[in-house]
Amino acid sequence: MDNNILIHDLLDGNLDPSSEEQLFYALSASEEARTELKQQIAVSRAVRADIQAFSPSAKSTMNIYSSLGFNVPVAGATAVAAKSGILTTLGKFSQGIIGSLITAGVAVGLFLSFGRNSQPESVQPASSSSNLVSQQQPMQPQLPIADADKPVPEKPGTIVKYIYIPAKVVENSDAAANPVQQNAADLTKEESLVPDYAKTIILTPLSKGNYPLYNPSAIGNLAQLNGKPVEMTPHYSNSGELLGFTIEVNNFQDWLLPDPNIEPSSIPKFNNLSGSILYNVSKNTSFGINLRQESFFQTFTGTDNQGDLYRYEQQPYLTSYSGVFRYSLRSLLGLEGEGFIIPMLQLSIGGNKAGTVGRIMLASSFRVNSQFAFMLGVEGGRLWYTHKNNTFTTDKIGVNYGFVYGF
Amino acid sequence: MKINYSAYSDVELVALLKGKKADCEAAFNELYKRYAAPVNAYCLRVLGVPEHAEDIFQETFIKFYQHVRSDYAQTNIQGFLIRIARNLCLNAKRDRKQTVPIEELDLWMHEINSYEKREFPDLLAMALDLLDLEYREAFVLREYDGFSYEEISKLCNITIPNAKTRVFRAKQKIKDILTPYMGNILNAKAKI
Repeated sequence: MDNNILIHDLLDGNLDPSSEEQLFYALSASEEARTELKQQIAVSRAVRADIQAFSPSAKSTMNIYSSLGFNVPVAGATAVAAKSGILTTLGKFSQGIIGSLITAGVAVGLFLSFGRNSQPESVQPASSSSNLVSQQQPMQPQLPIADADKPVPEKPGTIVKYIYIPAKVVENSDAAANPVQQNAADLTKEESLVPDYAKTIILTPLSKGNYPLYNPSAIGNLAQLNGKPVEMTPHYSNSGELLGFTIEVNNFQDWLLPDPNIEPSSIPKFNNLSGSILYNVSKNTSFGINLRQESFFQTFTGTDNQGDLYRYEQQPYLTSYSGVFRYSLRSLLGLEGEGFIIPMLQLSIGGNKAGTVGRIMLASSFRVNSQFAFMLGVEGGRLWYTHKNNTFTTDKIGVNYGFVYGF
Repeated sequence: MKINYSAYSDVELVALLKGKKADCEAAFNELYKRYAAPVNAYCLRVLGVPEHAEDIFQETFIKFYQHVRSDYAQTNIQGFLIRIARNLCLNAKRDRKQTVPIEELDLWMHEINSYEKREFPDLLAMALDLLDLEYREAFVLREYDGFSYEEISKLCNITIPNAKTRVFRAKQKIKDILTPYMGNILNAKAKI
């Protein structure tokens, strides 16, 4: 029998025992037979090394799952995000780590840009100490709070609509005929989840003219009255708080409630990152504004033009604007003097293109020096949104951490 | 408690595909994990054109799901998936008559000659493209998807000896095509 056939049978695991001796003799005597064996092994190995053939593309996986109305598996989403190396190893922690690195980078940038121009505390002129003047002008977010929830009760036989944002729907005739597919863009276009008030947030700038109590010379007068120099502590009150304007950059590790059934196909670069500007009007009270990139899991019901009841589910990424009120708890907790830890309660109300957002946070800042502080807190948030005149809510809780810079 | 679907047999998973949505989705996910690679390998290496193979690959799993949901009684899931893929591939081959302009062919031949820059699996893929469909398919089913000769014979409607012959001849032809490059490959021992 041809040696090539015997070699083929050997590699196939089908070599007849009666032919083994013939093959082994051929291999020991014939260079040609040995080369044939090497070449056939090389071909088999090449098949096993053909990674491309055994790796379905992430796009194909997403298209299949989208067409069938399934959640895209995590592995597929990860492939789309093209994570690699250490980020893949770190898995679910990578998002938080990236956020922390961005936060640290921004904080260092602020330090380098502002720190050089700041004057020593002991020589700062009295006229620049406007932060000592009390200003009771809270920010008006001008956002109506939604009424109590009115969820539509689900009827038996409810059709579930899963909406993937911004996953591309595969062009397939079967899928096109599938009644459970609907493009999220159509939904927002026709039924407008965007309340008008969310588009018109106007924040009044703080300036001297708005506050008649502002009088820098008052400090000078105080110095004369007391007959001794004024002690300058421009950034911290006696309780250790940062006074005046502060900038904060924060990151969040949050958990959406209810637990999402679907995963977004892509994640924005600055997801869960926020920036805030606050003005500390007294040693205990601050007001400010906040801008944040975040997501909520929305599940809500509604009827279409035919009267069929649908449940929609989506997890959009949103940019939220909020007005912030913060109150230091040092006095309430009986903490006096200059402190390293400043516990605080923060309330915020604002909106995004989906609806109104409210948050409450219990946190503490940890002072590093007269201008810098770290912050760590626990936060709960709720989004109120409407669909066909019905109001729905969705919640999230999370850990909030970041840097504070006072100037 | 989280259910470990990887411990389920194919038959159990197919039964779950007909059930509640959560179970159905988890079962499909598990079946996809098991069989996406061999189905993709079949589509890609039989068709040879990645874009077409992607379309067929997607359609295969969608049709599989639709079949299972409507009426399905088979137990060999991989065989069923490959059968769907095979039918779709044959239809695609029939509908898309391959016409390659001469300039493109010249370019392609130039590419194959620059084998020094290519890895052996790439060369193997190009060698497969040069085979007749019947040999290519038999080789892919045997070497890529691990089917027995009996399964290949059933899938391709041929006898078992015929299936064995096709795989052998395919290997010989691939070896003949790649012989000029084998010396480098065997000496290098690196790429494969």
